[in-house]
Amino acid sequence: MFFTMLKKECGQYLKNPAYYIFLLCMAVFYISQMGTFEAPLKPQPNMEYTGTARSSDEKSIMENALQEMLQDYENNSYTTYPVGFYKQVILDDEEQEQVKDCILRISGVTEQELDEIYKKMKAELEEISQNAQAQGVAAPMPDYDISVREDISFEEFKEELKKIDKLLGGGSNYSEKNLQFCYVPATYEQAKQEYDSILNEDRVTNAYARLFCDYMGILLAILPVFLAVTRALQDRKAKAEQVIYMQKASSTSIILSRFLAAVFVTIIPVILLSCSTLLPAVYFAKGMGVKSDLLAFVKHIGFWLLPTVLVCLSVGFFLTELTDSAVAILVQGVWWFTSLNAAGNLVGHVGWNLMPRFNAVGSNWIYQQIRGQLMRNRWLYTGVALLLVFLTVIVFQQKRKGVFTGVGTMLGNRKGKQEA
Amino acid sequence: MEIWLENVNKFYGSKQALKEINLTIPQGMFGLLGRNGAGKTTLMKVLAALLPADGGEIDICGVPVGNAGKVREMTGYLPQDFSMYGNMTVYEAMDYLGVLSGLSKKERKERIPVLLERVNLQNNQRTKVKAMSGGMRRRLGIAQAILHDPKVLIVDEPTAGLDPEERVRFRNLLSEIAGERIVILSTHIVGDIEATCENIAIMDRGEIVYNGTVSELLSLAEGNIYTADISRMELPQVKKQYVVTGMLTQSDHVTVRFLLKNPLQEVFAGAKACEVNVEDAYMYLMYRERGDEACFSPC
Ligand SMILES: Nc1ncnc2c1ncn2[C@@H]1O[C@H](COP(=O)(O)OP(=O)(O)OP(=O)(O)O)[C@@H](O)[C@H]1O
Ligand SMILES: [Mg+2]
Repeated sequence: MFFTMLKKECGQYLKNPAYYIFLLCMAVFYISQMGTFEAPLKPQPNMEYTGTARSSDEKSIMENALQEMLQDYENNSYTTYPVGFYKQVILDDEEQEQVKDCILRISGVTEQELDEIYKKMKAELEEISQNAQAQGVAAPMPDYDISVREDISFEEFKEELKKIDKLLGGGSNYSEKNLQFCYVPATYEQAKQEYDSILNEDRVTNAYARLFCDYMGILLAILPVFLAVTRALQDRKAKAEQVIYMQKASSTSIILSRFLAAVFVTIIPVILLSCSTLLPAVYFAKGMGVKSDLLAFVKHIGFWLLPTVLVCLSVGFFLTELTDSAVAILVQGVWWFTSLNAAGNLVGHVGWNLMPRFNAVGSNWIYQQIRGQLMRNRWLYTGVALLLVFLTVIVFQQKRKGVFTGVGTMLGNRKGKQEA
Repeated sequence: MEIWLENVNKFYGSKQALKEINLTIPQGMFGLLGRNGAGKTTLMKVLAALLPADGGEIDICGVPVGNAGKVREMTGYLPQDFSMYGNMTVYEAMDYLGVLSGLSKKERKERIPVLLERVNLQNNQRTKVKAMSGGMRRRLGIAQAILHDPKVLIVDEPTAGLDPEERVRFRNLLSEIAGERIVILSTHIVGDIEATCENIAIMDRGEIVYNGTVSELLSLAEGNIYTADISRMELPQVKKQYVVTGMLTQSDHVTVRFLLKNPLQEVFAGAKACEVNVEDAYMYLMYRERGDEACFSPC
């Protein structure tokens, strides 16, 4: 019987115009973000490799940070993510002076020398822009002619930058957390290693599956909530509430069938969409003589995207049953936005974020580092979703018996009472 | 097989919608009569386990109303403002609700066409719910309420908004259904009750002011109902002295139907006692309960 209910509920979604908008959004987003399949390029020793590699070399970290500070100081524009939201900080003269002092201390140059460095950069940039106009090609941004003091220790350096981070209100690129590694141009060896890892460790498809989950996770953390809210509001809108309440089916089976059907109609198109990356990836792997993992996408969708979908839908169902309003869209929207902006680093940002980020093809070594956290993260959200579904059943049950009439009406009643 | 209620109360916040209701509802058609806001819908929702009563005991054919699951299995309910998902066709709506009430595919296939025929919707199986008229929707409502063959059928104002022909059909349908069941029907339309119900209860302000058979109700008012032909000039005077329940204006005179404000009241010459109908009796009862205000509020 439950299976029949499930089928009927799927039918309900297929009749919902919101569902087709949802599908359209998903397709457009997929095409614009994933685009067509781009095979990984085999690195050649003489080729200039444009990729970057992550490095935790202290010297490189310090040099990178110093370069960034010079640029930020010159523009007086500092990027920070204090509570996960992007924020541009502009300092006053006195504060700028403090940044300048910091630069002088960690580099050991004098004020005059610093002025010279800025002048030199300006001249270089002018030359570059003239050349670029003449030749029509963009040149890479040059570095400032500066480096950190020889005798500065990494500890001392971090202490100095901590002060600047504090000045900026926290969450800046100079915070201790963001000084753990930096990106340096990749060498041929590194590029080769990366390429081999995509073929051998990721068997091609897994590398693309992670990128797929990264992009689709963004969408699936917000769009399904619309599906849940429209479905949960449908009874009231159609004035079918009491008729539904009067049926024999248990509250558990009613809510669960609606929920699982929503999961089903959300996940199936995702799997279908993934095929258009899976197939070329498999084809490419075959050409390279690698036996690809055919189930890579389905597996990743199952453990990576499914929890996101479960949470998003359960928030939608729960808050809508609870309040008889579309407030879930607002709540999920805020959560989504916060989570999206909290990701300072797009490859391997996991933590307890709703949308783990992994915006790269390959980088298996980073993936191996975050895998444990990713699993814990995903289990947590699966748990949260199941709890919310359970609570939705309880709320539905109480509404059905007329014990609970929705937060809105409860408040309304109290107001009415006070007036009376 | 009967439903009984004992000292049932219901509050909406501080407003008491049901006051110490004591009632026994036997098999067959049972009419619930009362003006707007009397508490009919509230009482029916309480019986359907859609609203919890605040104190009191309710037993539905041996099942206490607290056992909501069991009550739903044996109760069909047609809400006052019934509707279904607008994008469903008549057949789909029936099928959907059939699944929710646990009918197998075979049962649904057998019962739905029969029921749709019974409510005269057999030619509208593919009509979308949103495209149905109020009357058609009501008929769909009845069909879904008896889909799982319930012992108890509760219908809230099923005839409101129906044309006379449809109303008659509907009443007959309910009477047919009532055979082996308890059918509780609420209405403002006295004619519905007259035509179908043997037992009735009249509610007012959350209380049962009358509970008994229709003929007992009629005998209550016996001897208090008169008609007379009067001139138009006399009309205001009559209106002041009696409770006028009907008047037919003709070219030179008015035929009025009225009831006495109390049984001892004198009647003017020319007025003759006439046979009581349910409407008169209802008005008489309301007047007795509420005095003058009863005559001015819609019943
Ligand atoms: N949800 C509610 N909250 C507060 N008061 C309510 C609620 N529902 C009904 N009432 C009040 O309870 C009283 C009884 O309402 P009910 O709907 O039972 O009357 P009714 O006899 O069905 O009227 P009608 O003939 O208009 O359908 C009315 O005074 C109404 O205002
Ligand atoms: Mg009502």
